[in-house]
Amino acid sequence: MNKFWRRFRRNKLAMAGLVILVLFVLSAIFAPFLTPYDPNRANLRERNQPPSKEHPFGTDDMGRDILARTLYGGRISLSVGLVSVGISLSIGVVLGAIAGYFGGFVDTLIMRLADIFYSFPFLILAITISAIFGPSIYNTMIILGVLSWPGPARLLRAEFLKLKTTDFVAAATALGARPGRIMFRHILPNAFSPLLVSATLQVASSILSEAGLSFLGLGVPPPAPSWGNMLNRARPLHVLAGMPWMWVAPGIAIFIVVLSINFVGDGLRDAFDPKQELQ
Amino acid sequence: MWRYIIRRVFLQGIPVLLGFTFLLYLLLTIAPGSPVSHLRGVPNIDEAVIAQREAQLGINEPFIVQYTKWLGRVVRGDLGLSFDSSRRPVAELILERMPATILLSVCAIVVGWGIGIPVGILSARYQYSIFDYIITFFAFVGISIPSFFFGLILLYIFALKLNVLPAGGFFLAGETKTLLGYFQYLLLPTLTLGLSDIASVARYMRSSLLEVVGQDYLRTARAKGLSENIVVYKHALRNALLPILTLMGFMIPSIFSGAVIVESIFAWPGLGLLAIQAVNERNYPVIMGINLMFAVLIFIGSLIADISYAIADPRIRYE
Repeated sequence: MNKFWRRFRRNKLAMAGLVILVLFVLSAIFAPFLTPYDPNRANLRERNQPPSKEHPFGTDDMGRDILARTLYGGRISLSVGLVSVGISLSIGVVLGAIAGYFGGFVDTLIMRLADIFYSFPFLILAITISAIFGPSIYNTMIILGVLSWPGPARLLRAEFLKLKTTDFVAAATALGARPGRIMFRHILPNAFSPLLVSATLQVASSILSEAGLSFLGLGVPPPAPSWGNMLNRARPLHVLAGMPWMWVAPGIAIFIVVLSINFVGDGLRDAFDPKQELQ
Repeated sequence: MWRYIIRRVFLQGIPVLLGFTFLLYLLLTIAPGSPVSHLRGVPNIDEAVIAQREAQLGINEPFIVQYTKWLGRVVRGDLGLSFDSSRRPVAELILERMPATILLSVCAIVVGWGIGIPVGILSARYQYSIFDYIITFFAFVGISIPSFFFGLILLYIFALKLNVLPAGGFFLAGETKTLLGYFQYLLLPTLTLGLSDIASVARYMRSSLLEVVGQDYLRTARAKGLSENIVVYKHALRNALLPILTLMGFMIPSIFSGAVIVESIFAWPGLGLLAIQAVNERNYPVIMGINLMFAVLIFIGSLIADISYAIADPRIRYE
């Protein structure tokens, strides 16, 4: 593990990404200490104010402080990203492991199901399901998680196909270990590094998807702030043209966080790559 | 080749489409609420009126009956009638909107690949140069910036502040369709939709070329005394372009997903806008029709990508 950390640390972009990401996570957690304002409290006397000393990022059309909403919005956007990837991994890991380990009919069935999920445009299905079940934070997490399981499943299936022919698995089988134990105690830990890389990158795309859904009004519903639904409120052309402070802050927040996660993911991939040893 | 296409269509395409439409229809019917639930808000409404409306739309029957009927009609080319008051045929609605979405998607793919491939090649050719670092960085930016944020920035600068391009839409009623007009309306939506493709194609192209460049037959080419330019552009490039072709199949679904957002920002009158409207109205036939349409387009796209891969690379057999 030390070796990976040393290699990871050499990657300047990945380190910068990690630091920025930690800052964002901390500022979301400690939001109440960083701003005196309640993100959901309307103040009709202070509507549509440009950035000032009292409101560094200005206020929105209901007089809510944009900085407060951006900080608290980070809680929602980051947790939707993490939880949805958690859901997608739990489904994907189990199905991928089963498909790769047992092969045959079960494998065909699971992979055909994955094909079905791959064969439609993600966002169109996401808006369809979100609209029929009603947009909410939890529905957004579930929709994004359930629709993206084929990614980790395919990855893990490939790892299992590769690892199941190795000697240590043969040894475990010879000792009489049951399939469940071989799959999750012996093989899964060896597939950890590619899984971690793909999960990291998936958090980035999940945050983008949540923002996209919320931007269309079918993700996290107002008044709770999410970066995507803050941009949604700024869509009328007079807001877009005359009050850019309303959409610039959340937009930049999404961009910086996703960029940082992508840098970290890329750094992890390089750090785990055995070919890097040679250089 | 024809045998391969027929096998793909019958063994993969049709089962996947059946499974997909079955699951989607099931979701639509088990979800809380229904296309007539707004009627329950009307004061003093007679239950009989609601039941009559349900019967009219054919949603009073059990799921499996509804789905079988829908499927039976689809096989004969009939996608049903829209649930809204116009009751127009869904096929007509979709055909009306499809050209705009296809035009936008094709333009975005052309821009994404047209720029992404040469940039990726140059980036690999001059690996570790300043140019390479800048491109690598911008590729990260391109895949990380949310398309709607990028679209809003373009809209803000070019349409609202500089006022040089329209703020969305696609030809006003009665406007003559000139080539310049197409360009003006298409430019911002195409860039918004194509940006992430430029970035990811450039990244794939770069790593694909770098992988090929290290191989033995290129060492042979260099040993023969060929110049580095001929080695890279003539020998390596052909082989490096092959894996990029397969990428095409993967990118079509994401282009269509992106189109939904881009159409919504720029009021582009395509299928994406129709989809958003339909899901908000719970217009089942339109939702099913659009999803089916996209699934078919994606299947055809991946089939074309695989066939062109097999044509381009003689080592690949139709399996």
